[in-house]
Amino acid sequence: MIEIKNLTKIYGDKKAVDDLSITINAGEIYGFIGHNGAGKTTTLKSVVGVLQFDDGEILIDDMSIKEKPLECKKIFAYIPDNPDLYDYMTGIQYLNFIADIFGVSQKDREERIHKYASAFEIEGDLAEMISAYSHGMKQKLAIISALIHEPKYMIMDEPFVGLDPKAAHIVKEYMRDICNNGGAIFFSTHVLDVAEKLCDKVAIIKDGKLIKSGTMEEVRGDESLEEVFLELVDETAGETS
Amino acid sequence: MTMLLVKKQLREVADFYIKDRKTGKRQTKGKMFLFIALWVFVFLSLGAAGFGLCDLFGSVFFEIGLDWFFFALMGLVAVFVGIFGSVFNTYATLYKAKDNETLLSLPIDPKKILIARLTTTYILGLFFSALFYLPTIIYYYTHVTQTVASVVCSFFQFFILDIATTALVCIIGYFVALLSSRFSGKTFITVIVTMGFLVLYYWGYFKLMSSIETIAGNGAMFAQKLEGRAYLLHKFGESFTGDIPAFLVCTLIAVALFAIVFFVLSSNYLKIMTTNRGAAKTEYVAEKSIKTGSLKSALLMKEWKRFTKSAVYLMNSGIGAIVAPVIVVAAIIKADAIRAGIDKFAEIIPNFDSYLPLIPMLAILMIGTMTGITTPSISLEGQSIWILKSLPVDPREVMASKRRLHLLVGIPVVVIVAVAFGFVLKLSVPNVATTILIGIAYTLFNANAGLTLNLLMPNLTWKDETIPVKQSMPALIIIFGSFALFVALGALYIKVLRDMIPDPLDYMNYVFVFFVVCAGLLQKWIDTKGVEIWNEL
Repeated sequence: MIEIKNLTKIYGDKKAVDDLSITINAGEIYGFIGHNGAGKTTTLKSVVGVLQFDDGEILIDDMSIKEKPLECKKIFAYIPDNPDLYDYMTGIQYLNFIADIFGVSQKDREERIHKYASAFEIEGDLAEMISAYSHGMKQKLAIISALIHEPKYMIMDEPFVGLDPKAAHIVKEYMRDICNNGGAIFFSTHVLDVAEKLCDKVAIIKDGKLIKSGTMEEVRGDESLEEVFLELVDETAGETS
Repeated sequence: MTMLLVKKQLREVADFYIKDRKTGKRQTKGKMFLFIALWVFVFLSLGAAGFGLCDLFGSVFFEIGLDWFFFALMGLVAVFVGIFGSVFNTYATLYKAKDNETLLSLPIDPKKILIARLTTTYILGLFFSALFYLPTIIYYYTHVTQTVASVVCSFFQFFILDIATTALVCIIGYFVALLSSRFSGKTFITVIVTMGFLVLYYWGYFKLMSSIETIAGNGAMFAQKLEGRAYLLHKFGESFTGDIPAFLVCTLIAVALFAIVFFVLSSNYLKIMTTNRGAAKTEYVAEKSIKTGSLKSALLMKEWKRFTKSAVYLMNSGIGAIVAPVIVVAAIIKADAIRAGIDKFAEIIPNFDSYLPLIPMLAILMIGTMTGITTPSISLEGQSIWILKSLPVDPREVMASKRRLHLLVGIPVVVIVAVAFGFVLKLSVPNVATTILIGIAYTLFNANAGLTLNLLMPNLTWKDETIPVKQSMPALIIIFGSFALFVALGALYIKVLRDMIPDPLDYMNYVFVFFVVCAGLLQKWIDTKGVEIWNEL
């Protein structure tokens, strides 16, 4: 379970995330929706320990990311919105690096690299320098590196950007597999259709504040997620203006 | 538009110094003062070296009326420094700049992009050339009676010379870029080309030094011979001294050379910017490629790849390892000459024997400074810093891997050079052993100092890696701070402590302890405060 409790992150005098609380249970694909600059990336980066936050608490299986960062990081994987990988390595060197950090055995890494790289159709490119990869290939490599240690939780920032339809479909399957195995997915997206079809739960954030969350049915009611999202964003814009 | 592009490029370099990384606001007055003070120090140090060279040449050639030869030599030195300072930047700034795609997607004529980048290259060339050219004209004005023509010509030649330098930088930079794009070992190519430059420079320098007495003794005959055989070199030298026709000829050649380069580049610039000559595809063989390793070895391997896959990083932060074999071989070959030189010093300087053990120590410290791997290592994480921060890796392990690489590269350098010095100078075994220990302790201190400074002054938003490697405050502080430290260590013994510590080996033991303690204190800081800073990055 991933618990975000009263998370607050301040940049200068601006609250990027303001008293945000969300719980992602095992078996759930949890979508995180909001306009640009709403605080999604800041929240995700805080969850994975890339960013330090000012107030609140983040617990991964009851372990605090602040107090036990290494233990927490061992059981999740993070995919950022723009995968800036190590351009000075080849694809396979990068995967070996990540597998070494997580202590993945030779046998397991051979199997997993073959499984995921062939599924994403980049196995033949693994000996190439990452600097020669396209954005989509980098995204695929980042996803493979995230899957290589079979994480319990995956935190993903716009995971479908740059992926071809086949790769996007495979990613959705892997997301569901993780949840079926007792894990959970927490991901941000702007593609509301994808969120609507894929997510068990969804949270809508605006200006760092949570404005609605719950199961997909609870949030959207009889409307589409897009309609609900636009209504909520407009409503809160009216309140704040 | 062109001016806008020039401003953009110059601003990228300047912003790191004058703006705070996080707030985007101007640096505090204290930081600005430190920055200005450092650059003044850089200018004065290199200017002093330039002035020394002027004195060496000027004292010989002005007396025998070979003013033109003085300028021919100093002009070539200024051109060489201008080329050497900018040529490796051209790949990243002129041909394969990271903002190529962004600029091409905007309604900007590629020719204007080229003009803006050439202007920046020209300004950078002026900056590097000035380090030697300014002392040259100051020396000339103060040692030779001037005419209006000589003042005007020597002044304007500075700007004209740089036009030729810019053209040469474009040509050489293009071939370096072409070579490195055709071969997979780009870093290797760059290292070879740079070493070629250095060997050529030192060969020319030592050849000149060995010939200087002959030239001075037979000045008139030599000048006559050279005038006949090297017409262009003669005119080149004359163009600084007030010879208006020679000045016009040189101006014409510089402008023509630049015009040809500009014409060729501008005709093909769009193609150059967009062509990607990738190396042949490498076949992936899972059995050979998938290997397991420990966390420590994975982190060290990552640092090693970062270091060796970047020519800029390797050439600037690992130059010690590159030149060490050259120093060792040269020292062994020239052992007798070095010993003779030391004997000469012993005759001139009182109590020289008591300082002798300190010479290899100071030399080893200088060579140790040439390894600066940790200094830009935090900044070089750049936008990919999220990887290490999201992985289950203790930040202290991250710091340790950067330090470990620095030690692995730096320690063999100081050990090998110390042993070579021991052999050449016939030092005692305890003296060599102490020198080696100081070298190792200093390498550790230098590694930790580099990490500390980079943690205090990180820059993760660079577009061109030359900025964190070559143009950052930590790099400047390490180079010039180390230089000041060595002078202080030498002066402290000679001026203050010699009577209190008569045996220089005892003093060296104290120096060893000093570096060990400082390295330990810095390591403690890195593992506590440094880790906190890392977590906040």
